[in-house]
Amino acid sequence: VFGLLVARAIGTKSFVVKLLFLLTIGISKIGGLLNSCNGLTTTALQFGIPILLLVYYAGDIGDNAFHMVGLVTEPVLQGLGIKHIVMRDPAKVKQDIAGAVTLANSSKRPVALLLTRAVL
Amino acid sequence: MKRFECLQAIAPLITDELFVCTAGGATAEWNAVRPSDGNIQVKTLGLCSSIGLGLAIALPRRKVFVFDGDGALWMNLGSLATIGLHQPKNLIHICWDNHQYESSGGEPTAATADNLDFAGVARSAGIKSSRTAITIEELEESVSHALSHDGPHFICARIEAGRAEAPPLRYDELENKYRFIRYIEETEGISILRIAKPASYLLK
Repeated sequence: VFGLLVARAIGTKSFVVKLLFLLTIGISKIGGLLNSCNGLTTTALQFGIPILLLVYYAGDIGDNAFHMVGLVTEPVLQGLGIKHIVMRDPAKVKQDIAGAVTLANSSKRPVALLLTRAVL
Repeated sequence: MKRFECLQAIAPLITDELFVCTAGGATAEWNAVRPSDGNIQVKTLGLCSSIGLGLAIALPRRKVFVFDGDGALWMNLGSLATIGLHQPKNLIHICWDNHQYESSGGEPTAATADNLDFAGVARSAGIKSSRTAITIEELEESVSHALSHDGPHFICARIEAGRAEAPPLRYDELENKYRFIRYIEETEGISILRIAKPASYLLK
Protein backbone atom coordinates (compact mmCIF):
# COMPACT_ATOMS: atom_id res chain seq x y z
CA VAL A 1 0.00 0.00 0.00
CA PHE A 2 2.73 2.45 0.82
CA GLY A 3 4.50 1.73 -2.43
CA LEU A 4 1.25 2.40 -4.22
CA LEU A 5 0.83 5.56 -2.23
CA VAL A 6 4.23 6.87 -3.19
CA ALA A 7 3.73 5.90 -6.81
CA ARG A 8 0.25 7.29 -7.18
CA ALA A 9 -0.86 10.40 -5.38
CA ILE A 10 -4.41 9.97 -6.57
CA GLY A 11 -6.77 12.89 -6.40
CA THR A 12 -10.37 13.45 -5.68
CA LYS A 13 -12.69 10.62 -6.54
CA SER A 14 -10.72 7.45 -6.27
CA PHE A 15 -11.81 6.77 -2.73
CA VAL A 16 -15.50 6.34 -3.39
CA VAL A 17 -14.99 4.24 -6.43
CA LYS A 18 -15.23 0.84 -4.81
CA LEU A 19 -18.37 1.31 -2.80
CA LEU A 20 -19.23 -2.34 -2.53
CA PHE A 21 -16.03 -3.57 -1.02
CA LEU A 22 -16.42 -4.16 2.67
CA LEU A 23 -13.91 -1.46 3.33
CA THR A 24 -12.94 1.05 0.71
CA ILE A 25 -9.44 2.44 0.76
CA GLY A 26 -8.89 5.97 -0.45
CA ILE A 27 -5.46 7.27 -1.27
CA SER A 28 -4.73 10.91 -1.80
CA LYS A 29 -2.65 13.87 -0.87
CA ILE A 30 -4.22 16.56 1.27
CA GLY A 31 -5.39 18.41 -1.86
CA GLY A 32 -7.43 15.36 -2.88
CA LEU A 33 -8.87 15.09 0.61
CA LEU A 34 -9.95 18.75 0.64
CA ASN A 35 -11.46 18.42 -2.85
CA SER A 36 -13.38 15.40 -1.60
CA CYS A 37 -15.21 17.16 1.25
CA ASN A 38 -18.56 17.18 -0.56
CA GLY A 39 -18.35 13.50 -1.47
CA LEU A 40 -17.21 12.59 2.03
CA THR A 41 -20.15 14.50 3.51
CA THR A 42 -23.03 13.57 1.21
CA THR A 43 -21.94 10.04 0.32
CA ALA A 44 -19.56 8.58 2.92
CA LEU A 45 -21.05 10.21 6.02
CA GLN A 46 -24.68 10.53 4.89
CA PHE A 47 -24.90 6.90 3.76
CA GLY A 48 -22.61 5.55 6.47
CA ILE A 49 -19.84 4.00 4.38
CA PRO A 50 -16.62 2.80 6.00
CA ILE A 51 -13.56 4.16 4.23
CA LEU A 52 -9.91 4.02 5.22
CA LEU A 53 -8.44 7.32 4.04
CA LEU A 54 -4.68 7.10 3.50
CA VAL A 55 -3.57 10.67 3.06
CA TYR A 56 -0.05 11.98 2.54
CA TYR A 57 0.24 14.80 5.04
CA ALA A 58 1.39 17.65 2.84
CA GLY A 59 2.07 20.83 4.76
CA ASP A 60 3.27 19.00 7.83
CA ILE A 61 6.07 20.41 9.98
CA GLY A 62 9.11 20.68 7.74
CA ASP A 63 7.20 20.99 4.44
CA ASN A 64 8.41 23.93 2.39
CA ALA A 65 5.53 24.23 -0.09
CA PHE A 66 2.06 23.42 1.24
CA HIS A 67 1.91 25.02 4.67
CA MET A 68 -1.64 26.33 4.11
CA VAL A 69 -3.23 22.92 3.50
CA GLY A 70 -1.23 21.59 6.41
CA LEU A 71 -2.75 24.29 8.59
CA VAL A 72 -6.37 23.45 7.75
CA THR A 73 -6.21 19.67 7.39
CA GLU A 74 -6.83 18.54 10.95
CA PRO A 75 -9.50 21.21 11.71
CA VAL A 76 -11.34 20.20 8.50
CA LEU A 77 -11.29 16.52 9.46
CA GLN A 78 -12.50 17.48 12.93
CA GLY A 79 -15.27 19.61 11.41
CA LEU A 80 -16.38 16.69 9.26
CA GLY A 81 -16.42 14.43 12.30
CA ILE A 82 -13.78 12.14 10.80
CA LYS A 83 -11.41 10.63 13.33
CA HIS A 84 -7.78 10.64 12.32
CA ILE A 85 -4.33 9.49 13.39
CA VAL A 86 -1.15 11.35 12.45
CA MET A 87 1.34 8.59 11.73
CA ARG A 88 4.82 9.59 12.82
CA ASP A 89 6.25 6.36 14.25
CA PRO A 90 7.20 3.59 11.78
CA ALA A 91 7.04 1.07 14.63
CA LYS A 92 3.33 1.82 15.14
CA VAL A 93 2.24 1.60 11.49
CA LYS A 94 0.60 -1.85 11.72
CA GLN A 95 -1.15 -1.01 14.96
CA ASP A 96 -2.47 2.31 13.60
CA ILE A 97 -3.80 0.73 10.40
CA ALA A 98 -5.46 -2.15 12.24
CA GLY A 99 -7.11 0.25 14.69
CA ALA A 100 -8.35 2.52 11.92
CA VAL A 101 -9.81 -0.42 9.95
CA THR A 102 -11.64 -1.69 13.01
CA LEU A 103 -13.06 1.74 13.81
CA ALA A 104 -14.10 2.43 10.19
CA ASN A 105 -15.98 -0.88 9.98
CA SER A 106 -17.63 -0.67 13.36
CA SER A 107 -18.65 2.99 13.04
CA LYS A 108 -19.47 2.78 9.31
CA ARG A 109 -17.63 6.05 8.80
CA PRO A 110 -14.41 7.15 7.16
CA VAL A 111 -11.27 7.15 9.29
CA ALA A 112 -8.18 9.04 8.13
CA LEU A 113 -4.53 8.12 8.50
CA LEU A 114 -2.30 11.13 7.88
CA LEU A 115 1.01 9.78 6.62
CA THR A 116 4.06 11.86 7.40
CA ARG A 117 7.40 11.46 5.66
CA ALA A 118 8.68 9.51 8.66
CA VAL A 119 6.49 6.50 7.81
CA LEU A 120 6.80 6.58 4.01
CA MET B 1 -38.32 13.62 -25.93
CA LYS B 2 -39.33 13.63 -22.29
CA ARG B 3 -37.30 11.78 -19.65
CA PHE B 4 -40.30 9.94 -18.22
CA GLU B 5 -41.24 8.60 -21.66
CA CYS B 6 -37.65 7.47 -22.17
CA LEU B 7 -37.65 5.63 -18.85
CA GLN B 8 -40.93 3.92 -19.71
CA ALA B 9 -39.52 2.92 -23.09
CA ILE B 10 -36.36 1.27 -21.71
CA ALA B 11 -37.97 -0.37 -18.64
CA PRO B 12 -39.15 -3.44 -20.62
CA LEU B 13 -35.51 -4.10 -21.60
CA ILE B 14 -34.43 -4.34 -17.96
CA THR B 15 -34.14 -7.55 -15.91
CA ASP B 16 -31.90 -7.63 -12.82
CA GLU B 17 -29.49 -4.81 -13.60
CA LEU B 18 -28.40 -2.45 -10.83
CA PHE B 19 -29.16 1.28 -11.12
CA VAL B 20 -27.19 4.13 -9.60
CA CYS B 21 -29.36 7.23 -9.87
CA THR B 22 -28.13 10.81 -9.81
CA ALA B 23 -29.06 13.52 -7.32
CA GLY B 24 -31.78 14.79 -9.67
CA GLY B 25 -35.22 14.25 -11.11
CA ALA B 26 -34.39 10.99 -12.87
CA THR B 27 -34.24 9.16 -9.54
CA ALA B 28 -37.86 9.57 -8.41
CA GLU B 29 -39.09 9.01 -11.96
CA TRP B 30 -37.11 5.78 -12.37
CA ASN B 31 -38.30 4.47 -9.01
CA ALA B 32 -41.86 5.18 -10.12
CA VAL B 33 -41.33 3.35 -13.42
CA ARG B 34 -39.29 0.46 -11.98
CA PRO B 35 -39.47 0.19 -8.19
CA SER B 36 -36.68 -2.14 -7.01
CA ASP B 37 -34.15 -2.61 -4.24
CA GLY B 38 -31.67 -2.74 -7.11
CA ASN B 39 -31.94 1.06 -7.39
CA ILE B 40 -29.63 3.18 -5.24
CA GLN B 41 -30.04 6.95 -4.89
CA VAL B 42 -27.03 9.26 -4.83
CA LYS B 43 -26.91 12.49 -2.83
CA THR B 44 -23.62 13.91 -4.12
CA LEU B 45 -24.05 15.79 -7.38
CA GLY B 46 -21.82 14.16 -9.97
CA LEU B 47 -20.73 11.14 -7.99
CA CYS B 48 -23.16 8.59 -9.47
CA SER B 49 -20.73 7.70 -12.27
CA SER B 50 -17.89 7.09 -9.78
CA ILE B 51 -20.11 4.96 -7.55
CA GLY B 52 -21.44 3.06 -10.56
CA LEU B 53 -17.88 2.42 -11.69
CA GLY B 54 -17.04 1.01 -8.28
CA LEU B 55 -20.04 -1.29 -8.38
CA ALA B 56 -19.19 -2.44 -11.89
CA ILE B 57 -15.62 -3.27 -10.85
CA ALA B 58 -16.77 -5.04 -7.68
CA LEU B 59 -19.47 -7.05 -9.51
CA PRO B 60 -17.97 -7.76 -12.94
CA ARG B 61 -20.71 -10.21 -13.93
CA ARG B 62 -23.56 -7.84 -13.11
CA LYS B 63 -24.63 -5.06 -15.47
CA VAL B 64 -24.69 -1.67 -13.80
CA PHE B 65 -26.57 1.35 -15.12
CA VAL B 66 -25.70 4.88 -14.15
CA PHE B 67 -28.38 7.55 -14.59
CA ASP B 68 -26.51 10.84 -14.69
CA GLY B 69 -27.53 14.40 -15.50
CA ASP B 70 -25.69 16.96 -17.61
CA GLY B 71 -25.17 19.28 -14.62
CA ALA B 72 -23.95 16.38 -12.50
CA LEU B 73 -21.65 15.00 -15.19
CA TRP B 74 -20.19 18.46 -15.76
CA MET B 75 -19.35 18.57 -12.05
CA ASN B 76 -17.45 15.27 -12.28
CA LEU B 77 -16.32 15.12 -15.89
CA GLY B 78 -13.11 13.46 -14.77
CA SER B 79 -15.04 10.28 -14.02
CA LEU B 80 -15.28 9.63 -17.78
CA ALA B 81 -11.49 9.38 -17.84
CA THR B 82 -11.52 6.99 -14.86
CA ILE B 83 -14.12 4.82 -16.64
CA GLY B 84 -12.00 4.97 -19.78
CA LEU B 85 -9.02 3.85 -17.71
CA HIS B 86 -10.73 0.86 -16.08
CA GLN B 87 -12.84 -0.20 -19.09
CA PRO B 88 -15.61 -1.96 -17.14
CA LYS B 89 -17.42 -4.18 -19.63
CA ASN B 90 -20.60 -4.15 -17.58
CA LEU B 91 -21.12 -0.40 -17.13
CA ILE B 92 -23.85 1.48 -19.02
CA HIS B 93 -23.72 5.19 -18.34
CA ILE B 94 -26.69 7.28 -19.49
CA CYS B 95 -26.60 11.06 -19.17
CA TRP B 96 -30.05 12.69 -19.22
CA ASP B 97 -29.17 16.02 -20.81
CA ASN B 98 -31.83 18.68 -20.28
CA HIS B 99 -29.36 21.58 -20.42
CA GLN B 100 -30.20 22.75 -16.91
CA TYR B 101 -29.87 22.28 -13.17
CA GLU B 102 -33.55 21.46 -12.92
CA SER B 103 -33.58 20.46 -9.24
CA SER B 104 -32.36 23.86 -8.09
CA GLY B 105 -34.52 26.06 -10.31
CA GLY B 106 -33.50 25.52 -13.92
CA GLU B 107 -30.26 27.48 -14.17
CA PRO B 108 -28.43 26.75 -17.43
CA THR B 109 -25.53 24.30 -17.45
CA ALA B 110 -22.42 24.35 -19.60
CA ALA B 111 -24.28 22.10 -22.04
CA THR B 112 -26.56 25.05 -22.89
CA ALA B 113 -23.90 26.50 -25.14
CA ASP B 114 -24.35 23.48 -27.40
CA ASN B 115 -20.59 23.40 -27.86
CA LEU B 116 -20.28 20.56 -25.39
CA ASP B 117 -20.51 17.11 -26.93
CA PHE B 118 -20.63 14.73 -23.95
CA ALA B 119 -20.53 11.65 -26.17
CA GLY B 120 -17.45 13.07 -27.90
CA VAL B 121 -15.76 13.72 -24.57
CA ALA B 122 -16.57 10.18 -23.41
CA ARG B 123 -15.21 8.70 -26.65
CA SER B 124 -12.01 10.71 -26.34
CA ALA B 125 -11.69 9.49 -22.76
CA GLY B 126 -11.59 5.91 -24.01
CA ILE B 127 -15.27 4.90 -23.91
CA LYS B 128 -15.49 3.65 -27.46
CA SER B 129 -19.19 2.78 -27.39
CA SER B 130 -20.39 6.32 -27.00
CA ARG B 131 -23.54 7.72 -28.58
CA THR B 132 -26.04 10.56 -28.51
CA ALA B 133 -29.74 9.68 -28.66
CA ILE B 134 -32.23 12.29 -29.76
CA THR B 135 -35.31 10.14 -30.29
CA ILE B 136 -36.84 7.43 -28.14
CA GLU B 137 -36.19 4.89 -30.89
CA GLU B 138 -32.48 5.81 -30.92
CA LEU B 139 -32.38 5.49 -27.15
CA GLU B 140 -34.07 2.08 -27.15
CA GLU B 141 -31.67 0.87 -29.82
CA SER B 142 -28.67 2.23 -27.90
CA VAL B 143 -29.74 0.57 -24.65
CA SER B 144 -30.42 -2.74 -26.43
CA HIS B 145 -26.98 -2.54 -27.99
CA ALA B 146 -25.39 -1.78 -24.64
CA LEU B 147 -27.15 -4.72 -22.99
CA SER B 148 -25.97 -7.16 -25.62
CA HIS B 149 -22.37 -5.97 -26.11
CA ASP B 150 -19.36 -5.50 -23.85
CA GLY B 151 -18.86 -1.94 -22.64
CA PRO B 152 -18.21 0.44 -21.18
CA HIS B 153 -21.08 2.28 -22.83
CA PHE B 154 -22.00 5.95 -22.70
CA ILE B 155 -25.28 7.35 -23.99
CA CYS B 156 -26.12 11.04 -23.95
CA ALA B 157 -29.92 11.29 -24.13
CA ARG B 158 -31.03 14.76 -25.20
CA ILE B 159 -34.31 15.43 -23.40
CA GLU B 160 -36.73 18.28 -22.84
CA ALA B 161 -36.69 20.00 -19.48
CA GLY B 162 -39.53 19.17 -17.11
CA ARG B 163 -40.42 16.60 -14.50
CA ALA B 164 -43.16 14.03 -14.48
CA GLU B 165 -45.46 13.63 -11.50
CA ALA B 166 -43.64 10.95 -9.55
CA PRO B 167 -44.15 10.11 -5.88
CA PRO B 168 -41.32 10.86 -3.47
CA LEU B 169 -38.84 8.06 -2.81
CA ARG B 170 -40.10 5.44 -0.38
CA TYR B 171 -36.81 5.01 1.48
CA ASP B 172 -34.27 7.46 2.80
CA GLU B 173 -30.61 6.96 1.90
CA LEU B 174 -29.78 4.69 4.85
CA GLU B 175 -32.69 2.32 4.34
CA ASN B 176 -32.02 2.42 0.61
CA LYS B 177 -28.37 1.49 1.23
CA TYR B 178 -29.17 -1.48 3.45
CA ARG B 179 -31.91 -2.78 1.15
CA PHE B 180 -29.64 -2.34 -1.88
CA ILE B 181 -26.78 -4.23 -0.22
CA ARG B 182 -29.09 -7.04 1.00
CA TYR B 183 -30.55 -7.28 -2.51
CA ILE B 184 -27.05 -7.73 -3.94
CA GLU B 185 -26.16 -10.27 -1.25
CA GLU B 186 -29.25 -12.33 -2.08
CA THR B 187 -29.02 -12.12 -5.86
CA GLU B 188 -25.24 -12.63 -6.01
CA GLY B 189 -25.02 -15.19 -3.18
CA ILE B 190 -22.33 -13.20 -1.40
CA SER B 191 -21.88 -11.69 2.04
CA ILE B 192 -21.10 -7.98 2.27
CA LEU B 193 -22.33 -6.71 5.62
CA ARG B 194 -20.76 -8.55 8.53
CA ILE B 195 -20.90 -7.73 12.20
CA ALA B 196 -17.64 -8.35 14.03
CA LYS B 197 -17.65 -10.24 17.30
CA PRO B 198 -17.42 -7.70 20.16
CA ALA B 199 -13.83 -7.25 21.29
CA SER B 200 -14.81 -8.12 24.86
CA TYR B 201 -15.46 -11.70 23.69
CA LEU B 202 -11.83 -11.96 22.68
CA LEU B 203 -10.49 -11.01 26.12
CA LYS B 204 -9.42 -13.79 28.39
